[in-house]
Amino acid sequence: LLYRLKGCGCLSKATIDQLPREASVGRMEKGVDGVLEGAMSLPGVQGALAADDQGLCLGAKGTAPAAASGYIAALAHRASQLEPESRFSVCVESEAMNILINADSDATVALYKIPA
Amino acid sequence: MEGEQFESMFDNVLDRVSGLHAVIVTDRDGVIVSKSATPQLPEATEDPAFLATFSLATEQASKLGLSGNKSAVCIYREYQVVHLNHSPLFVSLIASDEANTGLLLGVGEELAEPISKLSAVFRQRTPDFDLQ
Repeated sequence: LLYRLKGCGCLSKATIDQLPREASVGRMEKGVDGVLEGAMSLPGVQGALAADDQGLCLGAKGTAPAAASGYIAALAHRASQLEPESRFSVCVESEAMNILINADSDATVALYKIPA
Repeated sequence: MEGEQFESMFDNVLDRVSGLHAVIVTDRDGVIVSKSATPQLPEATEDPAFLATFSLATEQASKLGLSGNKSAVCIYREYQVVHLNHSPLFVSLIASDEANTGLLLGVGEELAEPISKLSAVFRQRTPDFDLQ
């Protein structure tokens, strides 16, 4: 998940190292929750969402709607088909919000950011 | 909305969702009201006995103390089925096991409004068959 946040292009490795890490056996949800909470504290981020490989929502914070997990995962899947086996990021831009999407085979992460 | 318009809407959904084999609307007894399907749809899923199982399951699930059951996702080895309760009608989305389950649930939400209108018509004509 942290790697996917970095892949969204708005986090440096130093920033990621400062994010809370609470993952441990038996508290999987708190780990995801902690990472999304950390992402929310980043400048301009209004919402954060994580989805699994089947488009089911692992967690959503702020303005990111949990119901969008399927669509976000589908976008990432379609983008991956443009250039298989290469890393990619998707940015959906609108007047009100930019949505940065990064994914691998296990999870998809989306950040809802105010346009610069 | 005419029956052909429903099938056209379902055809559009089939094109949009990778791995989706069929969108089937049935009544409580599993009788197909409207259907749009690809050739990959397994024949067993068109059996009224299969399609009617959700109407029974959702009736029981609604008694678990969590208010009415809205949907159920059934994952099989090679397929998955997303059932949606719009009593007296039920929508079944039959897809491959690798299809995007979250997207199927999202599409189910999109279909809620037109299906609800059709359900209202059914409810007027068959007031005894309502599990909501």
